Amino acid sequence: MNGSIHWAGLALRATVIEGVGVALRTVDPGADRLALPLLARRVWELCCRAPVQVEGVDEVAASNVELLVQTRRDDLRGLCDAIGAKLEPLSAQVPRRFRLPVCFEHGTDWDFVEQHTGLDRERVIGRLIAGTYALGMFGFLPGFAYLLGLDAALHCPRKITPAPRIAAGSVALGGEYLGVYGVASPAGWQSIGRTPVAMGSLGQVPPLFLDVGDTLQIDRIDARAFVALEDRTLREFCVDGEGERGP
Amino acid sequence: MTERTSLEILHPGIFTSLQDGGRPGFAYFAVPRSGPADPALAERANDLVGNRATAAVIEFNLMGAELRFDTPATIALTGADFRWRLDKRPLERERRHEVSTGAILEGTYATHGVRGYLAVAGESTRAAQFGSVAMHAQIHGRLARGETLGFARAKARSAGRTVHEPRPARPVIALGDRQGFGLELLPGPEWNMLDAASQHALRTARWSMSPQSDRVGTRLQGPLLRLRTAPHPASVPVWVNCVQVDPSGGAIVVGVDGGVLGGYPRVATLTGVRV
Repeated sequence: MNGSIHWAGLALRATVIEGVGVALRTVDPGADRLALPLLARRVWELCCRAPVQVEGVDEVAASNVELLVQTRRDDLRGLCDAIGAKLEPLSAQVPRRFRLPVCFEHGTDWDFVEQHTGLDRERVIGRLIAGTYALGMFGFLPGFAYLLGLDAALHCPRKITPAPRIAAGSVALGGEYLGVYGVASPAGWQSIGRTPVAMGSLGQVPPLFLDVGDTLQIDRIDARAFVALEDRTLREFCVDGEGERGP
Repeated sequence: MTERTSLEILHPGIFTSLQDGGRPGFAYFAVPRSGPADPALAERANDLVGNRATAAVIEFNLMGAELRFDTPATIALTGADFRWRLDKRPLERERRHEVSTGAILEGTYATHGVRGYLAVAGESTRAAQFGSVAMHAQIHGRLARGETLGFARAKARSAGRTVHEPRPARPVIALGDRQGFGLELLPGPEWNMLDAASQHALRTARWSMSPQSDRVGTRLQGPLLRLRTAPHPASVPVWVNCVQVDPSGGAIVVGVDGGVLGGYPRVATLTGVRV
């Protein structure tokens, strides 16, 4: 069933992954960079959230470039049609805005980042804090934030051998993304700083205080301010009030 | 009325964790499925003690553990040979045993496999996250010395409680648990990024499980794999049993605790079907 399909008015190219399911990518190169993660949320609600409306789907996952529906069903065309029939056009939602305090003194890969970008630390920080980032998708581990909107001059390759452990709250560069490691874990990205605030709460849906499309700007803090903010959560740094999404 | 069973970890082994049906259906939120690395063995252990198939069991990797029962318990062991002993006397796997208060169960290094399971009759009393008590390697770590695990079992005549059975997940392969076998390999979306020699190697070479393997991923030891083109830097979804090629040419099979997005080319999928 490789070919084109339309979901919620979006033209997609479907590719079967044998034994796994269907991968979908946008056809229009100018499509909204959040289109797939937002579409995937609707698909997840139909297929994985009780009461399940379309049966037979094991997982729905998405990045900004690919949406994957994992299924044991053989009739992939029938499955895609069933999902498509229940999807409504995506409505624009108002993103919340956050400010993330980051201490750049706690970055551990500055040598690599300076050498790779050809920019000194102050210039890298200047470009970082000038940016506005959007949560593109969940991924890696619960609590990890994949942020879109990184200045192209700051794109850095991932590590060839991942670091065995990075501290919770580490802010890091990986390819075209800016990332925040919500929990301590092994890390393949280049660490440039750390936020003292808790990024999310495990066991909640979503497990991150940010949702897809929410935006974030960085506030530079020093090591002393870092200590003072250590028991705070990102929710308290929502510019639009309490950080709770309305009904 | 419920009967409570309790045991204490005296020595945790190398990587010992509590596993149940895991958290299927939450990949969108980057929640890994977790659950037993070898579900068939876990299910058999549960079956032997009369538990539902995905009730919580203790999973051992490479090495057994030492634990003490603080109440009487009904138990069963499956999987690799850890030379299990109960109060210094050899204990048979693959059958149900009644153990008494104070009994000490000990296992050493695994032979004939790397993983094993201990089922205790009852349901784990741990607090669940996303409907599961499964321990994720990077989030919850492993069971530690001194930790106590509780299991509650409804007595025969009690009112039946509805237990939520997670939706059955896709089979998970248990790589390295048996020796000298072939696995069905299906081409992945980036199969054609491999050069011809690497495609051939992946299909035909003899691969073994690296000691650096864990529940997050199994690192395969064998020929180095080469890519025809540089991989696209964007992250894309990955899945349990997906074979990825890292920048050094190594092959990694995504495990039950593996992340849900990855940046390495997804060259194949192992189905768990022996060929």
